[in-house]
Amino acid sequence: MDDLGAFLAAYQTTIGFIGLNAMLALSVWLTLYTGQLTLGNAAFAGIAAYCSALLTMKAGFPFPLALACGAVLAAAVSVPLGATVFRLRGVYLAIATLAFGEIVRVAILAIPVTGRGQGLVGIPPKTELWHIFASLLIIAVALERLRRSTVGRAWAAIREDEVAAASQGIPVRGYQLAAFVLGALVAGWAGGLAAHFDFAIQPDEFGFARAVQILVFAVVGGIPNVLGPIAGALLFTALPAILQPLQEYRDIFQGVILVLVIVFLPRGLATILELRRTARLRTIGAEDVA
Amino acid sequence: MDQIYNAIFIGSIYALFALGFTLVFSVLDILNLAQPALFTLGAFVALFAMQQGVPAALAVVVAFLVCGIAGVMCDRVAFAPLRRRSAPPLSAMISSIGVSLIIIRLIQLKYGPDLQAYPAGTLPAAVFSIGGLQLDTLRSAIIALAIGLMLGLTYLVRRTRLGRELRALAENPRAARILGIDVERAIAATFFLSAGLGGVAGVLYGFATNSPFSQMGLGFELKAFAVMVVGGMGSIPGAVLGAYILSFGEIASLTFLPSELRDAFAYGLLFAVLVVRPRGIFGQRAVDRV
Amino acid sequence: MLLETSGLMKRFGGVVAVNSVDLAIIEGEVFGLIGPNGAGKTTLINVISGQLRADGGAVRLAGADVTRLRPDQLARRGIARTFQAIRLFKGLTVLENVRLGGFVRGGSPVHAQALLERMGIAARANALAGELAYGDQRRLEIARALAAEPKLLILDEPAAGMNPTESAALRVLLRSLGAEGITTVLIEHDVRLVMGACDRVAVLSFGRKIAQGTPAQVQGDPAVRDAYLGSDDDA
Repeated sequence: MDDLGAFLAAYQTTIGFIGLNAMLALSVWLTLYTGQLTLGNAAFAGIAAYCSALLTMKAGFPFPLALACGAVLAAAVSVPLGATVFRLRGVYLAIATLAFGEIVRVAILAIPVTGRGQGLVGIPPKTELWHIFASLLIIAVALERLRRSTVGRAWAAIREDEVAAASQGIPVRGYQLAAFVLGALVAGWAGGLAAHFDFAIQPDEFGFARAVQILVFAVVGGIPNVLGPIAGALLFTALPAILQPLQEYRDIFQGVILVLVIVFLPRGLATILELRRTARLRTIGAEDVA
Repeated sequence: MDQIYNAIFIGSIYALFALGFTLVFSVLDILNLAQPALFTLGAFVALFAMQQGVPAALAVVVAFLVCGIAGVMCDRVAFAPLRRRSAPPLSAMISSIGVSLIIIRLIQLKYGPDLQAYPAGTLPAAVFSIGGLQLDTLRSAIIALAIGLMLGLTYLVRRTRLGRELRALAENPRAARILGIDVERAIAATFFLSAGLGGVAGVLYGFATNSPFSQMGLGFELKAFAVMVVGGMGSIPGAVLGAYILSFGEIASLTFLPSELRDAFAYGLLFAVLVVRPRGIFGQRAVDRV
Repeated sequence: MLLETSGLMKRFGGVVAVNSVDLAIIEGEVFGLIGPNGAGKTTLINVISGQLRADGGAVRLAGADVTRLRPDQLARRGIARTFQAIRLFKGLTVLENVRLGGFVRGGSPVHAQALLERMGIAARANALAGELAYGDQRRLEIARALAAEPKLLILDEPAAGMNPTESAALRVLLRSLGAEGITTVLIEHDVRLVMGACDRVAVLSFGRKIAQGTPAQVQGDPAVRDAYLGSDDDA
């Protein structure tokens, strides 16, 4: 057991980030599940990270309350954003959410209280591993149950064919917006936890690159169920640690894996367990992510 | 006056870069997120060539060719298999992210992440005056070349057989096939041109700043999205017009915005256009009818 | 009067696809909508069911003005439809498709299974909708539409691609719907189906309604014949 303790201590940061990344991947999974690509979740995490950190640092908020406030703020921002941009199709939606993310990043750079370019330092390190994994467990279970409920089935219908879904009585925009806002809430919670995990945060941590990264987790992991994004986050977060000697080539591995998965296993790694279904989907030309 | 000159210069670079995205988008409906990597590749191919003693002007040509070929290879590896099974655009976008990671990392492995410089004395440093204005040879040459390339591209698209094929493909791929157009060859030409132009934009920008670095494509990528959205995605004249609107707008906004918020102008403009008139100036319908 | 349209208009740029069409569809009847290709039948249906926005005129469902409502809102008021180019949820199972059809009624699997039995595709309940043969896909789409227990069922060329046995079965189904309180609007080219299933028929040509009446009346109408074959004056 001493070995386990030593292992945990040495890899604490990585293990923590696996959990955080898994939550972020789940947050983007929600909108992917409805067939839309949004790239704003890193920004939502950032909004909540700064908000909750400032609340604990400057206003003496208790940790859980600060986390909740951060997440709610992120969700609140996502409502008008979603209402505005969800009528855009496909690639325009992606670009709009990307632009939003950049506007947030620039705003952080401009507002003095956030520490601007230097970032926010001295955040009380209140996040423990168990906080992260308890949150992940609760969120994953809740989302999987949601997926199997009427709401989740409606989301799947929207992903398959928006027009047909609407004519069955599914309020398409409303349901897509719900997935988006819920995603912002989850991303916000993860952002708050992340801020208190690492002593300091910087605007660049929540920019375009991060948004792309969590998208990769979700897509490579696969979207048929919640295990996919978690698996994707695990793979890509643990990989650099495992490939320690090959650190230099980490990005190349990530890139190669990404292309290989998209080309050969389009429904993601998690679907290795259901190759037969993928084969059936392939015969009807419906095997891709969205 | 120097401001205007600068705006023309930056606008020309934006235009070349955005045209690469536009070409691919208009023909294939996908956003090739490897374009910024090709931009960076151009700058570094030129650097490598010039370090071997190749003169600057020739290095530009070399960069064009190498990037063009790289673009075609990207297509073969990352996009063509997806086309064969009619995968949705999202898959191609993600695949291109993978390619981008690989290219950038390879550049970093050779040159590191820091700013580089072109060999001393290889770039023209002369300054000349026209009617009281101080202009430098380098940027003037760049502007001239960029405009020349844009004109060349316009000629190609409007008056050559290849151009007609590309326009047919953009309008209606199935009809194009039936009409006997060699679709794969036309697509390869599209990627060659798109990557080539992006690479040239990279070299020219690298020359102008004399500090190519591996992440130089990232900032431009987001600006390029702004350019395309403003001008209308998939429209070549739109990309050119959008590029200058953006560059002039940025320079103008510097009169009332602090310089770190300069980027905010691009994102703000992008967002505003998406809200008010998402199709931009010349683009197609961008809003769902549902 | 279950469904009325008055002066309904739809334009696409300079083209008037639906030109001041008045319809009055009686509760419980099977109402056919026929006309040459391009006459505007599907466009008309798309405006009624909310996929397209009307440029003029009104649509009333059971007396209430529903012209500006979205498709999902109309579904909740009891309109269900099938599409000319089948729009199933291809990657979901047959059973799932029908459950989703019943979304406004809760989506019960038991109810869905019963509908599959009725439409004769229960054996394929766990197949992916995209794996079904064409005729089965059409029947699945109808089952999905019926799952909503609609007041008004709109079918856009349901018999396309069906063989005579299948379309005979469809005719029987259509005749039975009235007794269940379902009013049906049917776009069809299959003459035998229209004659055998419809109580009344309206004929569209170039966006205008040019004739209306029982199938027999419409079949004998010279204006209708001209619309399909082109006027003698052109010869």
